[in-house]
Order: sequence, then C-alpha cells, then structure tokens
Amino acid sequence: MRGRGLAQAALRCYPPTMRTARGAEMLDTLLEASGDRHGVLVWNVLSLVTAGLGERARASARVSPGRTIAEAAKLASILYACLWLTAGLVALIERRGWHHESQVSFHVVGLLIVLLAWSRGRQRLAGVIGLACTVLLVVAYPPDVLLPLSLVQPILPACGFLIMAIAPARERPSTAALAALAALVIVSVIVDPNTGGFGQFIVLGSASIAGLAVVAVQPRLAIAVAMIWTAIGIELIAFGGTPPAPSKLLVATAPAVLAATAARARVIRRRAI
Amino acid sequence: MELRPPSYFALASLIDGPLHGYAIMRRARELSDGRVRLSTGTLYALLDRAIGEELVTAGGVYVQGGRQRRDYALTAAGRLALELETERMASAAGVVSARLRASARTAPA
Repeated sequence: MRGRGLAQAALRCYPPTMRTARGAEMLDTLLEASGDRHGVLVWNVLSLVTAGLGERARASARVSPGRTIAEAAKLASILYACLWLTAGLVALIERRGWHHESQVSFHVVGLLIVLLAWSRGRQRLAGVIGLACTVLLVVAYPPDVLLPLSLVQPILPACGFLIMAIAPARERPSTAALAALAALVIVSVIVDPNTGGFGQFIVLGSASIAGLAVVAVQPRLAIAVAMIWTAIGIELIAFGGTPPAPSKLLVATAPAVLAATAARARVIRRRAI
Repeated sequence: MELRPPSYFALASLIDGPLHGYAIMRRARELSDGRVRLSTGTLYALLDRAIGEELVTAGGVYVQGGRQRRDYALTAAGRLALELETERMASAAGVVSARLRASARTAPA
C-alpha cells in the first residue's frame, strides 16, 4: 500500500491530461514490475518522477514562442497585481500619509477581484478590471506611493491585462500556486514595516526563486519574472542618471531567459526517441 | 530516425504481436540479454513518443487479473523504423569490424 501511495504521488509529476489517460495503467504496470522488491519500486517511482517532469517540459516546448510570451505577460501582470496589493494593504494598515484612503481601498478591492477572477479562470474579467486598476494607479496616485518603481512599470502589466481581456484562456492556476501566492502576499504585508518597505521585493524575490526552480519544466513563470526585472532595469537606466552595470544586467534578464527557453525547446523537440 | 537502445528493444518486443506495458518490459529485457531494463517511466515516455510518431498504436483499456492494461502494436512505419535502425547498426558494425580485422593483420606482433 505504501508503494502504491508513493507511485500515486510520483504520478502527480505528469501533466493532468496524461495522468487521467494513462495513470491507472502506469500505476498497475509499476506495481507489477516492482513486485515486493523495495529497490526496484524506488527505481520505478524515481523514473516516473523524471519522466513526468520530462513530459511536462515537452508539453511546454510544444507551445509556440508567441503563446509562451503572451502567457508569461499575463502571469507578469498577475505578479504586478500581487505587488500592488502588497503595497496597498501595507498603506491601508499603516495609514501611510494617504489623503484618499477610499481610493486606496477601492484599488485594493479591484486587485482582489482581479486575482479572484484569475484564480477562477475568468481571465477576461480579470484583464478588464486589471486594466482599470492600472489606469487608476497611474492617474490617481503619485508614482512613489503605490508604485515605487515609477511610471515605466505599468506598461508591462497593462499589456498582460490587455492580452487577458482580448485572448483569455480557460486555464485555471493550481490550488498550490494560489495558496503560495496568497501566503507570500500575507507574509510580505506582515514583514514589510520591519524590512524598510521591502515587502514587494520579497514577493518578487520569491517568485524569481520559484521561477528558477521550475524553469526547466515550465518556463512561463521565469519569463514573467524576468520581464519584471527587465522593466525595473529599464526604469533604473531611464531615471537613474548614469547607468550602472547591475541595471544593464537586469535589462538583459528577459532576453537571456527567452533565448535559453527557445534553445531548450529546440533541443527537446529534436531529441531522439 | 535514430532509435536509442531502450526504444529499439521496446519496439522490437512488438514484432511478434501486440503486448501490454509490463510484457514489453520483460520482452525487451529478454531480447537484449538483460542489458536493457526499462523502468515504468522510461517505458511510457518512449511509448508516448512512439505513438506520436505513429510507430506504435495503443489499443483499448481492459482489466486482467485486477490490473488495468492496454496493448501496444507496431505499425508499418514502426516496423520500417526498426528495419532502418537495424541496417544502420549492422552497417556501422560491419565497417568497424573490417577496420579492426585490417588493423589486427597489420599490427606488429
């Protein structure tokens, strides 16, 4: 029974469609092949993990570059919504010099609706409200309050929300991803006052680590985060006077991740049977 | 199309007729004299790709001895791929064997 449980857990590495189509058959084959030999069972379970992750990598490599970038832009806009939500909640909790508290509340509610709609697979609704939130942010608030990285930044989320509104996908994020995102925002809001206002960077840093961890299997999150770092780099160069080397490195993040992803997809597609 | 040893022996195990997953694993091991031991993950990954390349077809699901199974069969394209790979390996082995023999004759004692 323990072997069955292990194998079932390993099967979760496969994309859901394949798990539904072949999961039971693969599980029975694995148990039959392993018998009561513990070492063989572990070897087979590990092979399911690597093959499942490989299958996910192949599935992401089959997606066209245009669609991958569009989906990454959508994800980047969701990450921006989380960053703004963190800043908005911190501002509301701390009452940090807000003359228009009702507007902040309105904005926070709007962002919560965006995230809720996205989590339910209602991308068109999320895109429209997200666009409205972006416009509201740019028009109503000084850049250094809700938007510490100034006005270059809203261009990327605006593009992502626009793609969501024009070309919504039925895809819903996993429960685990949603739980992680919610926990991240809550933790960032709590620790923000103690980190000198770096709550948003905790969100961005954690998303970057998660993106790097899964880049070989699903590069979408890594591309989304890289787009944000590139936007920050452009911002620093545009408004920071003399462009320091780190800013240039930040600008190079998205092109580098895109190039690496394209090269990897080519290798996966060409791999022999 | 080049076939790696696990795929080569898995496809070769289907020459005599359709087999289910576990039977393919056993047959591939027999055919390779124990050199190729297919794990479950490797087997289904290569079967999935072989189905995608239309080298193999998958039958319907059935239950045998309380286990869910599905038979896999070699297609004409799969048989051709096996023949080409066999010829390629035989040709490569022939070239190397000839060179080794020639080298052994000319080598100083």
